[in-house]
Amino acid sequence: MKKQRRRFALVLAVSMMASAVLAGCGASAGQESIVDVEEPTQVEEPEQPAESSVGEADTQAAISGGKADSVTVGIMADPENMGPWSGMSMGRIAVLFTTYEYMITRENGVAYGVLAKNYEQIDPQTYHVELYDYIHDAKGNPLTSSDIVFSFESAIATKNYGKLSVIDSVTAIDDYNVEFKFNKALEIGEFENVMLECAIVTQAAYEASPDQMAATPVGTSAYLVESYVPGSEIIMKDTGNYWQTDESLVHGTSVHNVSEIKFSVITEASQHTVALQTGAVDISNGVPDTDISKFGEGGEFAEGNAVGVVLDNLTYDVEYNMSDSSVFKDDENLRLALAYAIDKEGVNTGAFNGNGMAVKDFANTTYPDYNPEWDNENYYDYDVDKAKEYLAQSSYDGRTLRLEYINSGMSEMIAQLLQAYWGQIGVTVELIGYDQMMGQQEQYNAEGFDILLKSTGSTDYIVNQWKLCWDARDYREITGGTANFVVDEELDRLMQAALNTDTYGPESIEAFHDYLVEKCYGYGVVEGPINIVHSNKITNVALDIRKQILPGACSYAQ
Amino acid sequence: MWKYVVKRLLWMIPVLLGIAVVIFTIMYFCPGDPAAAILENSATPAAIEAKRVEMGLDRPYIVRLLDYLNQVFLHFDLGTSYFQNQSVMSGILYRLPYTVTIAVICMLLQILIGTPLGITAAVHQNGVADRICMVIALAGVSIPGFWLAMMLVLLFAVRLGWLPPYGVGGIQYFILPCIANAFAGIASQARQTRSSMLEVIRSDYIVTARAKGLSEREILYKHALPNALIPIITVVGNGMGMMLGGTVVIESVFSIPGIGMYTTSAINNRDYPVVMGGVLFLGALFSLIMLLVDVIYAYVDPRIKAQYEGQQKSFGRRKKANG
Repeated sequence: MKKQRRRFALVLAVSMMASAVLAGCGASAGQESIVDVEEPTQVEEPEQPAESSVGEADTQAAISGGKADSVTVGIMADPENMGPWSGMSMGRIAVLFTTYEYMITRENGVAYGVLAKNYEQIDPQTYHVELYDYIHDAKGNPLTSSDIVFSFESAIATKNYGKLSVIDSVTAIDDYNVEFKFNKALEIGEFENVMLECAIVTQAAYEASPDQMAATPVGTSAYLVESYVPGSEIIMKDTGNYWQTDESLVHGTSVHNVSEIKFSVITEASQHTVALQTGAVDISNGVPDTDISKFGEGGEFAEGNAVGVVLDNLTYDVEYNMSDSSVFKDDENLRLALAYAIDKEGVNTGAFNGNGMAVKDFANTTYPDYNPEWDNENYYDYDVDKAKEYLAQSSYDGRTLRLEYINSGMSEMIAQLLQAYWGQIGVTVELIGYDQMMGQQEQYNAEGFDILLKSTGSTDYIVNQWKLCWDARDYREITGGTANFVVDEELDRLMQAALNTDTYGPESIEAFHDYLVEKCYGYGVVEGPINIVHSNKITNVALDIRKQILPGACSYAQ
Repeated sequence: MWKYVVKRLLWMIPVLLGIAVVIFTIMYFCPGDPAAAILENSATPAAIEAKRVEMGLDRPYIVRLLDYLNQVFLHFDLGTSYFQNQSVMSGILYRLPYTVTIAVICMLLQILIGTPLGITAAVHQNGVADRICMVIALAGVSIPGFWLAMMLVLLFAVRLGWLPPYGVGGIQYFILPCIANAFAGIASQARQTRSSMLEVIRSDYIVTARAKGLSEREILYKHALPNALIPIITVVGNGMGMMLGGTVVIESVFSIPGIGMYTTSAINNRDYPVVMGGVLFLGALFSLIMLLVDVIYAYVDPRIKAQYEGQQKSFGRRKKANG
């Protein structure tokens, strides 16, 4: 019996040692063992990333940058369908701007024509767009007005693009001029958004495609799909025959600094780290936050790599359920109590290691119409005493409030932090996490939650981010008011004034901001970062308007 | 025997019909809206509603169900993916080879390693070999596949640089996923083989064989193993069915575009045709594998074959008597 026990102990010891050796394989020789748990837990200082230049595609930087033969980009999901007008998905947006061009593009908030040479507003509901007269697609098919009409009509027919629903008609005036008629007077940024919503292809190429371009897309960009292994990789090659021969007219998104781009689908986040470590990919935005330090200064894999941290255009915001049955409906004190109880800097540190940014509006600082003076305002700045005072004045009866969120990304962590902050002032909060699909549905269920944690963002103006929650015209049929059930005529008036092209400007923006702060129907909490890790082969990382990597527009070491 | 096979094949029709109705109903009542998934997050409720109408999702349950059953069972069409705009059948057939490759290699590893381990453990019951085999088996059933997968990646891809960490290509891409995936199967196989063999080894006829002076090897492989095979075959059959269903975790860790990834991604996106088609396809596949297992039983054990044939004869006699 004793012998058996000894043998068993020996086997256990051997297996534990083997486990420790295997676990240690991930750590460098100089690192402390990960099994050492004796040290007290400490909040780490944000890692200083190795020098990296990351930003929206910038024509000057892209054109003056070096070129490369090939680059491999790690992406989180398969595009599944690369057709020009198929539904959006995480994989699709990663390859979209490399595959297709649009009528216009945006660089640092300013719109530039890509296929459109000029455009002008004829009346509040009519625009004329002039095309370059020498455009052809990657297969050499010439592109004219009729192709623009075909592209827009096809995109509208799919009903995949809500922003195109404002189009009444698209008509070819002649070979290179197109008339867009809209069913309403367009609001601020709306025309550009419509132009940026529809990928343009030639009718000839589309009709020649056996699969409606699902696996064999042909856009007007410099790149053509060479091979596509669904769920695994897409290889695109520069055709060497890009239509825009005048380099001064090539904008950031259309620059083609690399001959071959390989998009490698890596669904498991930790494998992005491995792929960069082993050199299997050159650049990725899928590395988990916990692994970023490995590539930063002093990190295990810092040599030959760099980390770029850029602020996302998504803001995590809190929206109160303002429906008739909600505890928040007539209780401004409760709304304010919860708002003052949140330490936004603490949320930034806890969720993003300090690489994000606490926000001072229901949106973030990345918009051109963001007022920098708001940074100095008291935007429900963390004040526990004040929060408790408001709570005491409120009619809160100790009931458990329900916080609904989408249980992916960092939302879960932020929800837990909010729960802790609110618990600090005596408000009990239950967390209700849904997957993306259920969350999209449940956010309009007035009985399903009390508070909503949501991430929203726009690619153009701050008012268009506000619109995603506060424009009652979009939600009235379902909620009776704004997205979070607010029925407030003054809010509606201010929202519409901020969106209307005639009244849009600092005054209307300021008025809306002030009113929302005063009423506290909802507020922004934190803006998350996007971590991009890349090899030193890349000297400047270019991103599109959705903050996706644009490998063609990146600059490469000579 | 053939009549038995045909009868079983005919039984598959109501089984598949049942699967189709159940999976359709589950997906119908499953919260989440594919129309919203297709559109961008910024889509307004009105735009989502318009898309729902266009996709036919606003039609009543019974209309959609009958439509689906008609499409699948009368036109043999599993439908078209909402996202890929590609036929579900071609999507499955494209991904099947990756899953089959993993499943077959894992099965071979399971049989070639698990069975000898189990036999060794049984023959040396309570000995050192038994303990070692059972510790390996215990580790196999206890270690989570994803953890083992990451450890293998760190060792063989990151540290040693011998094997690719993820993706598909040559056979070298399948080595790590198959080891990670097969480990638990090897363990189950070893445990099942050990317990079956132990039961058989204690039988009277084995004692008789020993008394007749047969060699241990002859007793083991000629008399004990064939009689212990039935439960082992059941484990292999079940394992094969499960693996063809897609080894979701392994496919996800190693970015292998197999059936598991295809269906899980479809579940997340509420891509109903893919989920329903995938489940139906796997149901058919699983039924066929189970039929194959039953047929193998008959070949391994003559008593079972006689039983099948006996059923048919008595059925024939009843028919004659009634006729």
